[in-house]
Amino acid sequence: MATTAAPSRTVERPNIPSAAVRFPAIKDYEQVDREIAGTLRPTLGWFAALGIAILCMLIGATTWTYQIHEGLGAAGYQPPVMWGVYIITFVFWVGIGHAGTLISAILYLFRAGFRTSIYRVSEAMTVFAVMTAGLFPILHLGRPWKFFFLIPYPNWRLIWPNPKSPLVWDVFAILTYLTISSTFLYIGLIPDIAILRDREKNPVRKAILATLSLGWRNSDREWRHFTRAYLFLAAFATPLVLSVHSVVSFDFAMALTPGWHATIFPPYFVAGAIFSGIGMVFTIAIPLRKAFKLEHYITLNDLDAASKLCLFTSMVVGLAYLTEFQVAWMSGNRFEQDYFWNRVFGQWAWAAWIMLICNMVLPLSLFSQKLRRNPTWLFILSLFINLGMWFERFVIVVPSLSHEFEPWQWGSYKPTWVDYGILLGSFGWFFMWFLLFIKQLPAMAMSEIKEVIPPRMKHPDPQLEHELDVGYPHPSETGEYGTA
Amino acid sequence: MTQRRKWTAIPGLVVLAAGAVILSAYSGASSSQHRSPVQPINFPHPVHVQKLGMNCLYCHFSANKSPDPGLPAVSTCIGCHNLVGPQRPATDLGPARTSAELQKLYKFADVAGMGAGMGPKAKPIPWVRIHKVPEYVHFPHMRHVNAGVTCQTCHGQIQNMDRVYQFSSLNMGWCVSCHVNGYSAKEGLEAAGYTAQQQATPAAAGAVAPADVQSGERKKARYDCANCHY
Amino acid sequence: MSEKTGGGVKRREFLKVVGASSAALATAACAAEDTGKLIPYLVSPDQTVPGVSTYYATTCRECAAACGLIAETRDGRAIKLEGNPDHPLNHGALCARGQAGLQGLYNPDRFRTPMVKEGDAWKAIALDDAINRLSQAVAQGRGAAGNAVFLNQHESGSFPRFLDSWLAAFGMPAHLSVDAEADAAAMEANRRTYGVSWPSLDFKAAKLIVSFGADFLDGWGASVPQQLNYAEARAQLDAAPRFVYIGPRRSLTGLNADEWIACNPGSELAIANALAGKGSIQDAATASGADAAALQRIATELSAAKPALVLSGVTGDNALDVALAVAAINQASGAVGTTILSAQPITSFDGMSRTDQVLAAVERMRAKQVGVAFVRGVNPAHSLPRAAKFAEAFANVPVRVSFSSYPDETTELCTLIIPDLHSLESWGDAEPVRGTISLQQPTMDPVFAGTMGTADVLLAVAKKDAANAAKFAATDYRTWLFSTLPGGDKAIAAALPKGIMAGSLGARTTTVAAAPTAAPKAPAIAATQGDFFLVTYPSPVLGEGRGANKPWLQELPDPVTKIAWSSWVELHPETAQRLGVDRGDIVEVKTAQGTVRAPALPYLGIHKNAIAIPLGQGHRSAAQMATFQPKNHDPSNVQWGYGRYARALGVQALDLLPLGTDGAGGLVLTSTKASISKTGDHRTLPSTEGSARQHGRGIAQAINAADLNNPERPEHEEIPGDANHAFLPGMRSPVAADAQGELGSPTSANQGILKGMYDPADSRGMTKRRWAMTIDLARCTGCSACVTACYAENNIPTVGAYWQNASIWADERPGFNIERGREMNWLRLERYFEGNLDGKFGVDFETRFVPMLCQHCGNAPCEPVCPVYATYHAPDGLNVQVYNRCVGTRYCSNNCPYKVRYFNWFGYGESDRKQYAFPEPLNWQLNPDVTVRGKGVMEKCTFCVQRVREAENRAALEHRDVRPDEFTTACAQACPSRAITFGDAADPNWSVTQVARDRRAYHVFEELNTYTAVVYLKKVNHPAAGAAAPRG
Repeated sequence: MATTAAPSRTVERPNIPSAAVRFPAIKDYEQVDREIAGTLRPTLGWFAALGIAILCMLIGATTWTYQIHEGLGAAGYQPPVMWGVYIITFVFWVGIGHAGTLISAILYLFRAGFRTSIYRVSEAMTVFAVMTAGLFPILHLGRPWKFFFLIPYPNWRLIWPNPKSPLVWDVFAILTYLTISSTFLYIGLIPDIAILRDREKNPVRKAILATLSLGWRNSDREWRHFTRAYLFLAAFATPLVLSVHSVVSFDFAMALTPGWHATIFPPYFVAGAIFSGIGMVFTIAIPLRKAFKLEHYITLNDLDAASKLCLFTSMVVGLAYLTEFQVAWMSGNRFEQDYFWNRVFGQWAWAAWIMLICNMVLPLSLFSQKLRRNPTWLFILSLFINLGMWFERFVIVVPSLSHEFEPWQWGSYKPTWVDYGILLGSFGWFFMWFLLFIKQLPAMAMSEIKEVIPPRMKHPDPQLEHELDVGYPHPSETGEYGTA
Repeated sequence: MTQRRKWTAIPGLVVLAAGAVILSAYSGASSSQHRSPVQPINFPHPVHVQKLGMNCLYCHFSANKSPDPGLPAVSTCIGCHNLVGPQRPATDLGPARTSAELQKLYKFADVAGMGAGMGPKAKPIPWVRIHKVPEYVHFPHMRHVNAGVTCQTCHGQIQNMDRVYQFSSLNMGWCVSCHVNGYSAKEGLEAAGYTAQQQATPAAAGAVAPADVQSGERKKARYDCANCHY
Repeated sequence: MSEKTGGGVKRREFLKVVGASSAALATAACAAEDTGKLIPYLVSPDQTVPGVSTYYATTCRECAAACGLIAETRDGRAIKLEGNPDHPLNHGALCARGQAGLQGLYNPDRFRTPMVKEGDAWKAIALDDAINRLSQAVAQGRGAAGNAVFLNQHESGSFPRFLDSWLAAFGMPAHLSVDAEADAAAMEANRRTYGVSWPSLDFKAAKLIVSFGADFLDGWGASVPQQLNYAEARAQLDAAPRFVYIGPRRSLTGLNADEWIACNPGSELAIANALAGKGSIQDAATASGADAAALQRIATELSAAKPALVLSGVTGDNALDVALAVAAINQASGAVGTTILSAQPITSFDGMSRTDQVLAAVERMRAKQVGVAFVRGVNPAHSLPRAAKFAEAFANVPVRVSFSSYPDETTELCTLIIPDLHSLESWGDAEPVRGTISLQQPTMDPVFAGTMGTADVLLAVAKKDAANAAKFAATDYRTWLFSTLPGGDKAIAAALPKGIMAGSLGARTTTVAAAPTAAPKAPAIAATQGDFFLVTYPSPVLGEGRGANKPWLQELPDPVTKIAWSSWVELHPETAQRLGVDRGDIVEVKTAQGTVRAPALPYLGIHKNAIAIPLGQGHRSAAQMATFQPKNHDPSNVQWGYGRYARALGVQALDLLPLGTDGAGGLVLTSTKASISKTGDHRTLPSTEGSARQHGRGIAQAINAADLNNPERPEHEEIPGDANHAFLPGMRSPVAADAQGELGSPTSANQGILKGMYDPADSRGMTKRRWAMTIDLARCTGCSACVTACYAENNIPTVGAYWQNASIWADERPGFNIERGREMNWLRLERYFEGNLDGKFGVDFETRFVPMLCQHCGNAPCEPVCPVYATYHAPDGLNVQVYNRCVGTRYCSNNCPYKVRYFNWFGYGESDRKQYAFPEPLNWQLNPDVTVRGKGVMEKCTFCVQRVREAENRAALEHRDVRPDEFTTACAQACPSRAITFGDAADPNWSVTQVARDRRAYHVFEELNTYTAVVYLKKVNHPAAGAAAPRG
């Protein structure tokens, strides 16, 4: 970890690119404070966006209330399709929630420099995505008011949840993930909150920030503790990236339904989750860097690097798709084969092809560096990825159930306005929290950026001088992560 | 260091919250235990059971042969109270007096006077129900009565209650614990209020077979859900 | 509960039970504090113990056959109908329509009081008032004979005699005994040939069964006894008779046939003659469009088969001739006395009037010759073709009295309504077979105080009439009945518990002697205009329409097409393709008489030259029907038409028919051709069918009779042999095994002393048991009686009514929930086709019926996935669903390979909702032993666990163990094919154990290791010589 000691070109540092390369346009700490803290000022556009988000959230809430009163029949379930939009959206949001931890924890451990500028956004995204996902298991219950039956607590019925049921595992997985990722987010925020506290004039806000900053005084000792804690949490959160979505995939893999009962599901789901997460990061970060004029923080290099990750996961997911077909083909299992045929060429072809094109084909465009460095294309692509990943879950849930063992009970599925209302509501809920977040707390980790920026020095290093003057790496600097 | 001390409070709060949850969980919050509503007629069980020595089954006639214990018809009351009217002479049950409760009964049953019998305008007595399990619970009285479970085990010593109240919680845990741990005839008699000596008496034998009392074997019952829920 | 419902003590009784059972409608809500009131009897009724059922033997009146019933009553209310095992007709079996009698009794649209029409408005009046008005009407009506018409539902027994004597006393002609479904031609032929109107048929004795459109399994004659006997015949496996069905359409009976000869309507006579050797096969083939070779083969078989059983149920203009020709064949093959037992006739149909007699009466009404008309239990305004113009003729009668219990098209045209009692509320009798009188007794007090038995009404009227008061001195009809029945009160009292008594009411001849003069003869169908022959047939479920107001029957999918709550037009897939019509496209069917529009249904079992439309739906009202509000519907606001459940459903196919009768005076149902055209509209058909093919998954397996004893099998899945008996241990479930392991381990808290309920040595010894079921597909005919029995026993809600959908922006279509696969049939009847995959017209396809219910797997996939143990494995092998624990994740259903779990999408069981399935007083029928499910919980077949518990409780009271075959499930009890056996497979003394060892036994999806407790026995086919063997 970098320290605040005066940097020297000769000091061996972790593979974190020099500020000159990472943030050529950023001169000093003051600029960072100024620009990033500046993003916290509410704007008209922000109010408009927040208004829309809250409206959507309210639509969802009303719809849910209606559904609770009327019964799940108000939604579009058509037995044997007993799970629908809600479970699909649940998996969708849990997936979104994965990029955050991946970027903030795993990339942190790997010292991937491009993480610095986007990890705060993606962590916040993670927390809110998991908060959204967490609603759906309750929301899709026939008797949501009895959800506490799923929670293991001593009760006068002398009866406990069923430890064998993947749904119970879910409860634990989601709660753990929510706890860890929100802690991670909070710990990372502490130094920044301290900065805001010091800049804050309004006494009330100052008091709140003071409490939240846990009395951070930027001392050397605190930094040492901080970095250790952060490292520990990162190590702690890393396995969760794999475990949580594996557990979610068990909801399907543990059933004997054709199309679900597959050992490939855990890795397949994890890859899909990261893929969808990065998609959502693009969807959020690209407009953000524009709106907040932070192009020189979230640089094209960062986007380029993230795109490579996106491309990689997309190919992993694509491999999983193909493997599924191959498994069905070679298993010689008639039920499995019928199902996959029906998935791709039958009743559900349209959904399956949306999935394949959005998740397998379009991301291949990222082989081109031009497109990787083109924010507009990345944004459009990310929308397709979000759509494709939602449909991936649709293709997993609905076609399997509609085409099971018993031909007499084969069916179809058509959501009603209730399903769509609640789907919309979930987006409203997510963005409401996110928008509130970015105006209360910095969407970018000031302290970490500062770690990369060299402070003003009494005896400037000529090479560094040169960099700062021309604002571009010295010829001797080679490669993207140019360190001496 | 004040700040540090401030934050040591958090674990404490967490522990308190957890405690509260567990407590509320164990206290059968939804139970209406000890509920003792006012009845349209204050029927004195002690007089009928203790003083007059009537058997429970005289009025609750199907408790030993049906899931439903049976509720005495108004005619059952009048059967005796045709002869035992509101005007009470001095007896060993007490000095001469006018019984307001019996006047209520006569009013319900539309009895003109002693020996007149029920009139045309007779109405049933709207007793307030006290012991009730939810509708998705099937409680066959006869299985329990015939297994030697005395009425008092669940209903308390009704024979001493001037006003009946809900004795047991009727929570699922309450049912299950008995089904799991079993039940001995001896406990039943004790619950019914028979002293050690009385347990040998014919009266006790009427409630449960003496053999069971001797053996003191604990009878257990199925406790899987479908035993009661279907 | 409203004070209106019932009166006197019964009302309180009602309150008492409801006080206890109303909260049952809220599994979801937990009502801890409000425990309600306990309302005692004033005087305890004798012979009833609260909470224990009392059983009364009585007689079923849902069709003319008059089967014996055992009515189960609890706390004074009938809650279940079962067949009377001692009854000579049905021997304990009961069809779906019989089961649904209860919904006639508790029908929410029943008239509460008598009503009189004043101007255009109906006014409720008191019974005395009604009786006074009736006596005045009679006074006007009496005089010259022929000026009164009494249309009475055909029934056997004393009432028709009583009625005639009453009519005679008032100088009125004898009544017309009407049954719109009866096959007049067959009866006439029977009378001429065998001297009885309906001999009993012995399929067992037959070597070959040939049916000319005679649907003896679904409504033709006495279905239940015929089905019992037919199932017995088929149960002889390789010794069973082959069954050939000849007709334009494969009905339910036709689908059970081994071979189908598709012929043009009207050509049956040619075929019959050819088979009899009176005509050339070739001519028959050309006339009928059937395959000459097949006809030739059958002719040879027929000549060899002695005795054969040939039946005719043709509904064409030449019906009588066919019936007579067929009778001749029977006599030739020595059928009389062997397969056709004219010595033991079914006398239920004696004395039935002919349709032309009814039509003649209608003409007299039209000619203003009728002063007063009475209607009881019949609905000519609906069951006569529109061409008969009944309504306007009826309007010419000044006084029109209806004794109907329900609003219907005819009653709506009347001036006075005196609602009759339901047969379960009144006294009566029947003579189903010669020499046995079947008694009908009230099983409970009337549901509505304002109703009165018609016979008693007539007595009251007679008492008001000076001339007749003396003759009808009997205090009530019961007294009159007892005085006339042989043996008198003592004998009757002795007979009542069994419901039958020896003795006869004497022969009964057709009540109107004179055959009418101007009976319109039907035209020859070939001569009419149109592209397709139009076949109309009474629905096996709704009959000609009388069942349409009973939700159970509307919800019960048609056994052939699996469509509910709707009408449809059947046409062959080939035809459909030619016309560019898809399933559900609305087509317009046009004849000279009229047009109807209904969704098209491509169906393999119809001749490519024919289309078919079922009767039974299309009830409509002359009055403009106000939008119906299911919630807080005011019963005094009559649901004209045929009640709320028949509202706006389907079409009336009779509108298409010309008015015509056959030689026997019966209405001709296939009398015209029709043209058909596509309208462009579409309506998804509410069907429970997913795929009609089993895609070789071996769900319904069959085997050729010839292969039964052949060890060398062509296909693997056809190897006959013992089913896997690994299902026997009742504790295979992972959950169960775990419970034992964990509780039983010596390291557990109790050192393994208390092993818990799964311990085989446990004092409760439950694991001795393994409740299991066998279903013999060789017997099952797909009649679906078991389905309705299940609805009746288990409080299963019907969900197809058009208001049972969501409230906001939701379609209000009848059967909408069924379109979406939300039907709740715990036990469903799957109908799979084999063969004719290309959909080209061909006769060689096979049908297999599979009753599919929860298989109570020993290793159930649904159990481990439930997060809250709401479904788990009981130690006696039951797979249990705990409603009050279920939170509704529906994971169990996703993981169920058999898809036999059903979810409460709406609050069907919650009385305050518009989706409520049991509107007052339908909820009186609810079984108190079964929880009514609230919204949001999963439910499924429980193997009638309430009956298991009841038997265990009974046994415990008597200090004994449960006796082998002591009880059975509702489906097994009702099954008129005796295809279902239930019992403890772990105990060799139960018959189910023996059956499960049959060499045809197999488990569905055995490869999934579910160890199902339901063992199926392969269907046995008798293909024509040289036909291909059926596949898996």
